Amino acid sequence: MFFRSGILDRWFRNANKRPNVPNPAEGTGPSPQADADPAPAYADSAQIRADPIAISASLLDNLALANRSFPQAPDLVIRRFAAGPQKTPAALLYLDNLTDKNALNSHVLRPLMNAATPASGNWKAVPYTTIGNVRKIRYWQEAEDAILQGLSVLFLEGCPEANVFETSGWPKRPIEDPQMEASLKGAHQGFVETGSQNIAMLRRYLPNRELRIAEHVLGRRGKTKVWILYLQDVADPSILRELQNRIAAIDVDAVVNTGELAEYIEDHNGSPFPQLIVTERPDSAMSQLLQGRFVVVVDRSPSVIIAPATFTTFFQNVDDYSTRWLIASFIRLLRFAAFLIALFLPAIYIALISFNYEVIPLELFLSIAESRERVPFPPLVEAFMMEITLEMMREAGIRLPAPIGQTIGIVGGIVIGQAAVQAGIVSNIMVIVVATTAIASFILPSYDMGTAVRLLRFPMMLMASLFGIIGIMISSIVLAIHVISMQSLGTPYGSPIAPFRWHDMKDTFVRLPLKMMYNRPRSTHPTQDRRLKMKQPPKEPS
Amino acid sequence: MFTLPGKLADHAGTDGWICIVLDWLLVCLSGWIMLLTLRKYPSLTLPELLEQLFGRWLGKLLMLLPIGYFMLIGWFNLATTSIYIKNWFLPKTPPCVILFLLAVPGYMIVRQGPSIHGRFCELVFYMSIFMILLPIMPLAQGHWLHLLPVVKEGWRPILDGAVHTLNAFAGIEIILLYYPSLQKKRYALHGLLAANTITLIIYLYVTIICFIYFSPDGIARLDQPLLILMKNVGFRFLERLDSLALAAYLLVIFTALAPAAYSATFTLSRLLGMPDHRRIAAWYFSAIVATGLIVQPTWKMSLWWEQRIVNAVLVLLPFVPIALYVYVWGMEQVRKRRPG
Repeated sequence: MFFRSGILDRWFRNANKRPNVPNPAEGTGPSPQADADPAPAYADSAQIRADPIAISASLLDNLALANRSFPQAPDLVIRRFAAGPQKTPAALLYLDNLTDKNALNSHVLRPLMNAATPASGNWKAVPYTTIGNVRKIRYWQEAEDAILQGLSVLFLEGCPEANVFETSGWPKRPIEDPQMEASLKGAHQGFVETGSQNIAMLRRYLPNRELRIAEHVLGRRGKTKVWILYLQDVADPSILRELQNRIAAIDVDAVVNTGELAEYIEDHNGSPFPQLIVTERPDSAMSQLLQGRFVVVVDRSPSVIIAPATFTTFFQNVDDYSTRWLIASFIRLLRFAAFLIALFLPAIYIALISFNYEVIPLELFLSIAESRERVPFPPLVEAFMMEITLEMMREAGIRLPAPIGQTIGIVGGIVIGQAAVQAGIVSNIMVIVVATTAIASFILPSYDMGTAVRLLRFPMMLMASLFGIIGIMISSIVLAIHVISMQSLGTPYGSPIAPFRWHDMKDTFVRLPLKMMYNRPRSTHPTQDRRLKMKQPPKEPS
Repeated sequence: MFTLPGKLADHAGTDGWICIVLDWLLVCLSGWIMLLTLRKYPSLTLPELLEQLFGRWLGKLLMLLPIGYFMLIGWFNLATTSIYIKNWFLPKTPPCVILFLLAVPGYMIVRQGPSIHGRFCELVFYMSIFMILLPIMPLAQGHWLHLLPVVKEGWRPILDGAVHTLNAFAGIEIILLYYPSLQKKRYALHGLLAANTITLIIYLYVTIICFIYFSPDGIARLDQPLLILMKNVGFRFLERLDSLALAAYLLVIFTALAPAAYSATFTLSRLLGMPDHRRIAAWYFSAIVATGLIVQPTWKMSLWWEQRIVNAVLVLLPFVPIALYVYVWGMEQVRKRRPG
């Protein structure tokens, strides 16, 4: 196991027992608080134990180690200078472009190199730096990790400890509207690729003492930081333990994206349905936190995971709470109807035409027969051809640049469809069915659920063509059993539909007024039930 | 449920709806007595209970009875359903293919435990409850006069009809297997009464509508009056609703199949000492599909087996709970007298 809490506990305990060496750039003497700092997240205790090269007191030895550790790294900058009034030989190491030059130059190099700075009581009177976050390290592995993460390391001649300054500043993206989850009335901020900025955004939404953050490091080479955020008094501790165990059990090279992490920690890998919400919106993450769910932020990825999720949470959107509740209820119902249409419509079409034509009224049946008259293919082949063509167009549309994308939409949708009908390859009704299905599948707010529906359409069509309406019923029973037997981190996936919870129904198919939602939904097992109740102002005597 | 009005009319004329009420009373009493026995051993499953009451070897021998009974019920359920599907939807499909189609979701649900069965039954209830509105439509063409006079031929035919249609209510014995998994055992009696009453209401509703719609003599000759009734139901945009209704009823059929098959496979797996019942469930469903290969289920065969099941239920429902309770009570008396 990569990240055993056992090893780390021992390291913590040993940290308090280390001999107190006076630190050159920080504090006059050893203080208990300064010595008892927790383990830095970028130092791997297991690797230190494997390779315990200590930082030597000689500057030249350290520089030789640096050149050995970073061969062929032209972006490694080694700035040698004389620090402090006693002109102690010093070297500052950092990777170019991973650091914030301003902070480095003004707040590290300038005070150290400036002889006019008043002498401090430090080791060899080396002045203080004006950087906020300073750490001291004793092992070479920590120095290497720190340099690789954009921090700068200061070596002083004769001092067996090095100082690490928080000067990281890599290229960052400005905060924009998330593309896949656009909202009409919500905030237009989306998460970015820097984990600490994402946490800062979440703290802006929930400036509460109870918001706790648990940090983990994943991946041997990637060293991706992963944070679990939750509200201490609301979230269920057993789910937290389960989540932490699953994250701790991951032993891979690197976790590149949130999607990969989601696949590692979810319960049922083989199911087409997603069991964890992946979102890019801070406001949606915040509302899930308030319901007692856990948010997993992955460094270098703009999506966060929200766990545990149930089937109906994939039909909820943050816009539902900004619009009026009647409209929001209507749109929620529309989404469920769209889910059913996207899943069943092509299959129902095939079943009704091939097997159960007595259900269709006579006039409609005649017009369908008329339009299908020239088509040489059976309904299944016709449907498959159209659906696969639509899927190809959709995938192509993702990668096309914007102006061509619009044109292809019109060209593909209208012209090719019409031409195909006129050539007699497909029937008119088929084009309508396929178009309606496509529109319905775009209504689902969650991309994962939408793709699940797109995938499940095809086996449904196959069963309909083999067994008619009984095939559709059997497939839907199989799907229903599959959904209700799934768990997401220990909570039932089908809740609040099965097990049926009347209380949670206030926010499932309809969105009842916010005044009526004074408790949190039960599906997340919150330990504190009541959201804060609005106090009525005292009635004035009339 | 589809053949119920026909059989009632056959035995009791249009007073058949009284038979349903009598059946309901009997089943409620029978379930209550079962609960009285089970309350004394709240966390023992049926195999463990039989072993405790009767000793290891006699207990294992007695386990064969519920195994045989539930296996028969499960097979009968699937075979009858395949006959319905073959007659109404897929006449040319070989019966083993239909049985395989039915066995796949059957296996999927039987391999889960009782809590998932509960969720599934609840979900199916909410999804199919709207179908109750469908038979209202032919009501306008019915004659309420068919129901009068009440008790026209005396009580004898009514009792006869009640005896012969008892298997319509016969699901109550799964209490013996699901009781240990209940979380709120205090409400077991409430649940039992509620379930039976819902069944009563639905059967009464269907039977009375059939009696009103069809002529009193003609209905006794019909095999499946409810489906024939539904043939006349239609909207402007959907003509034949009975195929859709029968297809939707498939959901409800699985709620009846799952507990029976689970009871059988669970008990058999405990008899053979296996830790869980999933492999036995796989074998069971494969065996059912295989019987479809060998023997083609026909309506006549279904009626014959139904008769056997009715006889079994006639023994099971009234007498077995009483016998069990008397035995347990007797053992308690003996145990009380022993130290003293």
